[in-house]
Amino acid sequence: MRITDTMSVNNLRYNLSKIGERLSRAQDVLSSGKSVSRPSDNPKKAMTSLYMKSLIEQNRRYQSNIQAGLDWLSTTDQALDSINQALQRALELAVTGSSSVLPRESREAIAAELEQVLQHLAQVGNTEIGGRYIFAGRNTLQQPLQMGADLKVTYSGDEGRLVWEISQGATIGVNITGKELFGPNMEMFSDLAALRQAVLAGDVQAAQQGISRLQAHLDNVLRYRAEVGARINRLQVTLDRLKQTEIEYTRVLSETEDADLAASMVTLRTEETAYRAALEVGARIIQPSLIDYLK
Amino acid sequence: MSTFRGIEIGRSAISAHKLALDVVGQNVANANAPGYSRQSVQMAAVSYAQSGLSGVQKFAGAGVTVERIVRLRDAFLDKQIRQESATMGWAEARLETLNQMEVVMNELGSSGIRARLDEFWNAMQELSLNPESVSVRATVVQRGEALCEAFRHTVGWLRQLQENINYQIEATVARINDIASQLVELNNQIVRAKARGESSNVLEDRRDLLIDELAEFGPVDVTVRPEGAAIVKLGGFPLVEAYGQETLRFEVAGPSGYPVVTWGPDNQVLKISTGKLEGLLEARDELVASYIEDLNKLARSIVDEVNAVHRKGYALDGTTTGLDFFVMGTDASDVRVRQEILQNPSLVAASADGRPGDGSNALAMAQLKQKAVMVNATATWDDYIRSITARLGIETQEAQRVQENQELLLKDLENRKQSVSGVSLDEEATEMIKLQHAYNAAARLITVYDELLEVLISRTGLVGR
Repeated sequence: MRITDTMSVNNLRYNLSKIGERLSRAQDVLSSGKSVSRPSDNPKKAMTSLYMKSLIEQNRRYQSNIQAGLDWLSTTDQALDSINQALQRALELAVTGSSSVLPRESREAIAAELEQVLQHLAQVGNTEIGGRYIFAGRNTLQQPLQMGADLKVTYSGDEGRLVWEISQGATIGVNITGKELFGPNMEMFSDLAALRQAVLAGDVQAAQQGISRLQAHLDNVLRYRAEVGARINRLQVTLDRLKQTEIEYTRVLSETEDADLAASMVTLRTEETAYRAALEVGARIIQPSLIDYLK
Repeated sequence: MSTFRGIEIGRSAISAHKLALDVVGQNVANANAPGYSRQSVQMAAVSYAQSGLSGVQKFAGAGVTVERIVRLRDAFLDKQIRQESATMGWAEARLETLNQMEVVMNELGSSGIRARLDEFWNAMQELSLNPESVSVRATVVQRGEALCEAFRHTVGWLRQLQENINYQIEATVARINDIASQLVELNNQIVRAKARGESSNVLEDRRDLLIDELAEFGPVDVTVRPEGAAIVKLGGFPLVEAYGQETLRFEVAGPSGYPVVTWGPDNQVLKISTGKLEGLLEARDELVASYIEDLNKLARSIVDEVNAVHRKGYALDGTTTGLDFFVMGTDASDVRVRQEILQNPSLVAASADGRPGDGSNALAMAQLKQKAVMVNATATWDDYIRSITARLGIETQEAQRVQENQELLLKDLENRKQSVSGVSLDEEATEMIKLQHAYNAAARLITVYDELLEVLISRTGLVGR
C-alpha cells in the first residue's frame, strides 16, 4: 500500500488523541476519587449509586426520628417516675390520715400536703419538651391541665396519638395522653381531692375507698411506665438495626462509586508511557524524507 | 527526411519534461492543501504518422508528448467516505447533545433533582415529628422551593439547549445553500474549462472538497454529466441540478413548534435518514424533547400527589384547609411553592385533624416517596429518576460507541484515499530526479544535434576553399 506523509501524520494524530482521551479519563478518576462521575461512565453503577444514596439518606432520617422519639419517651418516663413518687407519698399520707385517732391538726397537715401533691401532679401533667406538652394528645401547644380554685382539674388536650415513622412503613405512637394517665375524667385528681376531703373530715370509710382508688391509679401509672419502657426498647432495637444497615449501604456505595486508587495510578502510568512512546515513534517516522538526503 | 527532426525530438522531450516538472512542483506545493488530489503526467511516444511530418516511416518516432495530466482519485472511495461521513455527522450531533445533557442533568452530584427530592422528604419527615415548630415549617417550604428550582433550572436549560440546536440547524441550512451555490459556480467553470481543453483538475478538487463537506450534513449522491457538470442530490432532494440550485428553507413550523427544513414551491419537508442535519433535528425534536417530557411527567406527578394530600390537611391555625402546596404551569419550567405558603410557612397542612401536635398529614406527604405513583402505578419517583438517569447514561454510551466506530472507519478510509490521492514527498523527490536527468539528457541531445548540424551546415562543402 502506498504510504504518504499525510497518512503518517493522520495516524499519529489519531493515536495521540485516543491515548490523550484515556489519559484524561484516568486523571479525572484519580483527582475526583470517583470511578463514576457521569451516568455514561457506567449506567449500571450510576443507578446503584443513586439508589444507595437515597437509602442512606432515608436511613439517617429514620435514625433521627428515632432519636427524637427516644428524647420524647425519656422525658415521659421521667414524668411518670415523678408521678409515681408523688402518688406513693400520697398513699403514705392517706394511710396515716385514715386513722381514726388522728388529731385535727395532724389531719389538717396531711390535707395540706395532699394539696401540695395535687399541685405537683398538675405541674408534672403539664410537662413540655421544646414548647410542646407531652400529655396533651395532639393539642400540644396548649397547657392540658388547668387547676381551678376548688382543686378541680380540667383537661384541654385530646386523645390523639402522635404517630412517627421510625423505618420504612413502620410507625410508633410516642405519646401518652392525659386521659390515659389521669383517667377519662381526670379521676386521679378528683379522687385525690376527695381523699383529702375525707382525711380533713375524718371520714375513715371514705378515706379507705380513696386509698384503694389511689392504688388503682398507681397500678395504672406503672402500666404506662412499662409501656414506655417497651417503646424505648423497640426504638433501641430499630436504631441498632438501622445503624447496621447504614454501614452496609455505605460500604456498597463506596464499592460502587469510589475509584480504586491503586488501579487508577497504574492505568495513568501505562497511558503516560504509551503517550510518550507514540510521540517518540511519530517524531522518528515523520521527519526524514528523501529530500533531506539529496544534494 | 527532415533535417531538424532530431532537434524536434529533443525539443519535445524538453517541453514534456518541463511540464512534468511543473506537475511535480504543483504536487509538492499542494502536498498539504486539503482536498488536493495528486496529479501525474501521462507521457506517450509520438509516432511519425501522428507528428504530421511527411516522409517514409522507418524511423524511431517523433518524440514525446504529454497526453494528459491525470488526477488521481478513486471515485468509489469518495462515495464510501461520504456515506460514512454522513453517519459520523449524525453520531456527532447526537453525542454532542447527550454530553451536554449529562453535565446539566447531573443526578450523581449533590444538587440534582433526586438530591433535592430527598431533602424535601427529609424536611417533611421532620415536620411530621414537630409540626408546631416554625423553623421546621420554614425548612419544609425552603426545601420545597429548592426542589422546584431544580426542576425549573434543568427544564429551562434543556429548552435553551433546544434553542441552541435550532440555531445550529439554521446555520447548517444556510451553509448547505451556500455550498450549493458555490457548486453551481464551479460546475459552470469546469464545463467551460473542459470545453476549452484546459485542465479542470484544480476546479474538480475544489468541487469535491465542497461535496465532502456537504456529505457530513446528509447522504449525498453525485452524478457527473459528460460535459463535466455534477448533479448533487442530498438525501434524494435535488440540491444542485448542474446549473441551478434548489434552495432549502427553514421557516415552516413543524409539529414540535420549531421550524422544519422545506424546499420547493409547496414546502415539501426534507426527509433524510442520516447526517448532521438529521442528527440535529432529531436531537432537538426527539432526544431533548423526550427528556423534557420525562421531567415534566415527574414534576406533574409530584405536584399532583403532594397537593392532593396537602389539601386534606390543616394548617397550624387548625382551620385553614384545602390549599395546594405547589403551583405548576404548563410544564416543569414553571413550578413553584404557592406564594401564600412561601410567605407564611404556618399554612403548611401538617395536621390531619387540625390539632397542632398532629403531623400525620405531613407523614402522609412524606410517605408518598415510597408510593408507586408513576408508570401505571409500578414505579416510585425515585425509580423514575433512576430510570431517566440510566437511560441518559446508556444512550450516551451508545452514541459514544457509534461515534468512535465511525471515527476509526473514516480514518481508515481517509488513509486509503490518501494512499491513492495523497502526495508523497519521497515519491515526488524521486520523480524530480528522474525528470531532471531526462531533461539534462534531452538538452545534451540537442547540443549533439546542434554540433552535427553545425558540421553539416557550416563545415560541409568547404573542400578546396
